Formats: sequence, structure tokens, C-alpha cells
Amino acid sequence: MELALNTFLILFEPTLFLSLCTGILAGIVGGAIPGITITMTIILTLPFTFGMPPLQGLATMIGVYVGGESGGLISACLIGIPGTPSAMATTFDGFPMTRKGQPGRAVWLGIWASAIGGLLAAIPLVFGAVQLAFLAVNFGPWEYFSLFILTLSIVAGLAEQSLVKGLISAVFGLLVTTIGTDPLMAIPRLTFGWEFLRTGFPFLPILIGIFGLSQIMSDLEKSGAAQEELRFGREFNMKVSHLAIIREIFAQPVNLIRSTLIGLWIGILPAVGGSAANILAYDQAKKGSKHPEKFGTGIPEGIIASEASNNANVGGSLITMMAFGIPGDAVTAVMLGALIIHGIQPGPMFVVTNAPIAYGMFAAYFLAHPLMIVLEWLFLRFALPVVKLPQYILAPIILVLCVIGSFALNNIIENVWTFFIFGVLGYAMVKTGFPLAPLILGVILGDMIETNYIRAIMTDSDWTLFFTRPWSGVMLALSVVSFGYSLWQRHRAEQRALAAAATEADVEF
Amino acid sequence: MRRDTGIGVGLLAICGLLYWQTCLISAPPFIPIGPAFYPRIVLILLAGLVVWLIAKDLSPRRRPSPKTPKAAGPAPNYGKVLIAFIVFLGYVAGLGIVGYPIATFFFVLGLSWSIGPRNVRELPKLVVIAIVTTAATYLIFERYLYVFLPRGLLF
Repeated sequence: MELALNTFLILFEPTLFLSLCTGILAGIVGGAIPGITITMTIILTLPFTFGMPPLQGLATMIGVYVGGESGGLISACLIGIPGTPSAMATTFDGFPMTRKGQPGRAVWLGIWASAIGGLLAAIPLVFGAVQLAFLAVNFGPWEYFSLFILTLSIVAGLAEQSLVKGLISAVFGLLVTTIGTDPLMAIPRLTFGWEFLRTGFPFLPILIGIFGLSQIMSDLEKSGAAQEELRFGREFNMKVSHLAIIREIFAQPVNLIRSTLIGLWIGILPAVGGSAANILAYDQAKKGSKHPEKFGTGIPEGIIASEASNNANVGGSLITMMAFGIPGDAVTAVMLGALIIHGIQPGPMFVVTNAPIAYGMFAAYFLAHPLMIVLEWLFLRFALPVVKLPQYILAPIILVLCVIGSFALNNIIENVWTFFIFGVLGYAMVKTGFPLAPLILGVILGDMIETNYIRAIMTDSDWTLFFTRPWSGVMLALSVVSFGYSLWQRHRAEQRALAAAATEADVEF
Repeated sequence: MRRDTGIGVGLLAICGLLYWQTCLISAPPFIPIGPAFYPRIVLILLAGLVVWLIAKDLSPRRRPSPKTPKAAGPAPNYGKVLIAFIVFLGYVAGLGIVGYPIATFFFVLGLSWSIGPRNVRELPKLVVIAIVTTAATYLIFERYLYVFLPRGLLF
């Protein structure tokens, strides 16, 4: 408790406090610009954190994460384009509310719901992460192997378009990690004699390429988008009674808590992210409402559900990252990379051996929410025109920062080439319907899966231990259930589509 | 050939090539699990999934494509993407030759010009943006954050 209080006070040190505020503001700006996701914003922030002490860097990133989740609602409410995928459902009621002449109410309902949802998620973050980490400390290589397999199966199964493509993407990620020296004996593999490949592909340039470059290129292909400017300016009247807004949110305790729990749960599931959380929370709010027909017409319930869930999702993602060393989504994947850069090994021992940093992260998450409200207020008052920058100006600047982020990792130009190669690969994958998240997760987990698998076999050659050890067996069983469920869901969707097509053909005939 | 089948055939070729590479890995004889063991499992798994993808793609019971026309909107501008990739490729190649400041200035100017409105009256604005971006990133990273940016033959 004393440690938690001390680290909380440390965050008020000018440099840390300024970094946290800068991170939040960067997140808000990045989140508010459609086309720049939170992942992209955190990638752009990454090189700035290289020269910072670990806690300062991580506090900055948490600031970006929290700010970005709420920044996306600004464009969602004011122009009907979600700034980030996690604000998609906010658009459904936020924009109609603005059209009704209540832009201030729409935006501030979202901001306050974000802050309250995020703060509620801080409780399970602090207690859940520590408890789970203590549980994970007792895991052996069998349990870790099964946990990573479960993670991969969930992520691959969640691929929107095709299960097999999701699985191929995940296994391709595993394959990427086999290039370079093997983790146990340092014998070079699959390097084709290239010296650069001896150490394997570094994770961060892959991540930046896969998400950053492919995102920019996908935006550019939308004809005319490069010249597009956002249309909002100072014409909106944003004045509201904050007390009335808070009262309006607390008048819906069930919606608020349910949405927070959904966001938290989705965040804990690896690599799902806020984009799923806000849609699911909105859907549940609609199903649980006494007047579902009013959803989509500009009612507060929809905004509250979406925004409370996406900020609670941040807390959930941090739980998974801090307890197991597994990224909850792409943003925490970058944060994991940042931890490694600072010489900190992520995993269950992180909370135990780096308690000041872990508690500092909790404190930064907690403090980021009230600060976010103040900074959003300042942003709406003074800096809204910043997001009017057109794509053809933004894209080169973003790419320059991506290059710096890749290069600065080891100060070698080969990392920039890795960024370029995986950027091209990421774009090709987007165009051919292969999901990106499973590949990234495969790259993150590849070495850990191999190390734990071989360690388990070397400790005891009895492979049935993977199934007979309780936690390991449960997690492998869950992997099979997750895989089977995805298969069944897709089969059902195909059957329905076939039935619909047959009916349509009959009618035409 | 269908698209997914084409991708599958390409991936199978990569799997075959890499599997052959695993046969060239030298490992000490006394260890029970050599460094080629895990890559082979991954490659076999990947090949199996790719076969599933091809079979699914060639299967006559594919999901019927909806008859409704594609969402209305402008056609993808692949020309712009290609230009951006080429300009970016030039930038990455140029970094090690002319160094960060020169390469970045020309990259920002070149890319914003090639994907922007290409209006001569815009050019001074784009030059200023290129100078500011180069100078700001150089000063922030080199001077304040001690992140050393790529050196070329000149700078």
C-alpha cells in the first residue's frame, strides 16, 4: 500500500507528470483524427520514449492509450466518422445527438463515460493483475505452452473473414520467429547465410510495418482521401452542465457497470481490443434496454455503453500484459516491446521483481483518467483545428516517425528494411483477407512457445503431462472449445448464407 | 487459378524451401531435440493449413457471393499506393547514402507532392513542411533524446 502511494506521488514529479499529460494529449489528437488509430499513435510515440527512464516511457504510453480511447469519440460524435475503431459504436448515437443540436452533450457524455468506465476498471487492474501474476508464478513450461496455444487459438478464431486464414496468419507469425539462432543452443536456422538474419527479425519493426505502413497505404488507396480535410471547426457549441452529464451517466448504473465489465473482459482476452468491446457493449445495452428502437437516434445509453467499455478495455489489456506478459491488443504489444527495450522481462515475475514500475503503471492508468477530462476540455477549446491536417501532409510525417522508431531500436538500417518488408507484407495481407493480429501474436509468442515446449519435453519426456497437469489440461481443452466454436459459428453462417441464396434463386425463378 | 489457391501454392513452395533448409541445420548429436525440430513442426502445421485453404477455395460448396453490388464509393487508387511505396523505397535506400536530413527532406517533399493535389502554388507550403519536419525530428531525436539517426556518406 505504501509502495502504491509512493509511486502515485512520484507521478507528480514534473517530468513524469508532463510525459503523462503529453501522452494523453497525443492520444487525444491521434484518436480524434480518422485514419490514425491508437496503435499508430503509440507506434509514433515509441521512439520518443527510448531516451526516457522505464516508468516515464510507460506512463507516456499509458497516457496515449487512455487518451486515444476517448479521443476517437470526438470525430465520432462531431462528424460521424469514428476516430478509432473503438469509437465505432459511439457514432451510432453520438452523431445523431450532434445533428439534434447537442454536440456538447454527445461529446461530454462520451468523455465522462470513458473516464468513469476506465476508473472502475482500475480496481480489477490493481488487484487482478497482482493475483493473476502470483498464480502464474507457479506455472511450469507445460502451463505456459498451453496458455500460449490458447491465446493463439482465441485470436485466430476471432478473425472476421476466415478461420483458416486466421490460423495461417498465426502460424506464419510463429514461422517468422524460427528465423535466426534457436533460443536454446544459439544455432543459426533458416538464415540462408545472411548475417543480418542470424539474430532473427526484431519484433518492433515488424509490428510497426505490419500495422503502420499497411494502414497508411490502405488509407491512401481510397481515392481522393489524401486531399480530404476534416470538416469540423469552431462552429460547434460545446457548452454543457458537467454536473447534469455526470448525473445522466449515474442514472444508468446497470448500463454503466455492464459495459465496463464487457470492456474489461474483452481487454483481458488477448488481441481482441476496444473495437470489439464497444460494439458488444452497445449491442448488450440495446438488448437490455426498455426502448431498443430508440438506439441509433441519439440517446445517451448508446454513447455511455460504447465509451465506458472501450476505456475499461484498456484496464483489461493491461491486466493480461502485466500478469502473463501477453499483449491484450496491438497497443500493449508495443508496450511489451518498450519494456524489453528497457531491459525488463515481461511476464508474471514482472509485478514481483519490478514492483515500483508495475505500481507506477497502475498509478499512471488511474491518474490518466481525470487528466484526460481536463486535457479534452483544453483540446476542444483550443486545438480542434489541429486535426484538420490533410492526409498528404500527415502520411509522410507518420512514415518518418515510423522509420525513426524502427532505426532507433538498434541503430541499424536493416531494421528499417525489416519495417519496409513487413509493411509490404501487411498491406498484401490486408488486400487478400488475412488478419494481421494473429501474425503479430505469433511473432510475440513464437520464441516463448518453442522455449516452453522444449523445456517441458527436456524436463520430462512424457508428453501426456500437457494434458494431465490440471491448468495445462484446462487451457488446452479451452483451446479446442474455442477452435470448435469458431468452426461451428462459421459453418452456421455459411449454411444461412446458402439457404438465403437458395431462397433468392427460387424467387427469381 | 483462384486467388487463395495461388497464395496457397506460393506458401507451400515457401514451406518446401524452408523445410529443405532445416535439413541443413547442424546440431550436436547428444541433444534429444535439435534446433530443426520446432521449425519443422511449424512448417508442417503451416503446410497443413495451406492445404485446407486450397481445398476450401477449390471446393464447390463455397459461400455464395452476394448478388448486391459492391458498396458505392470511389475505386481503390492503387496508383497512389504504388507511388508511395516507390518513394518510400527510395527513402529507405537513400538513408544510408545521403543520411537522414537530406533523405528525409526529399522524402517528405516528394511524397506529399506525389500523393497531394500537385498544385504548384502548394509547393512552397510543402517545402516548408519538409524543412520543419526534418529539422524538428533531427533536433528532438539527436539533440534531446540522444537517438542517433542514420548517417550517410555525406552527413
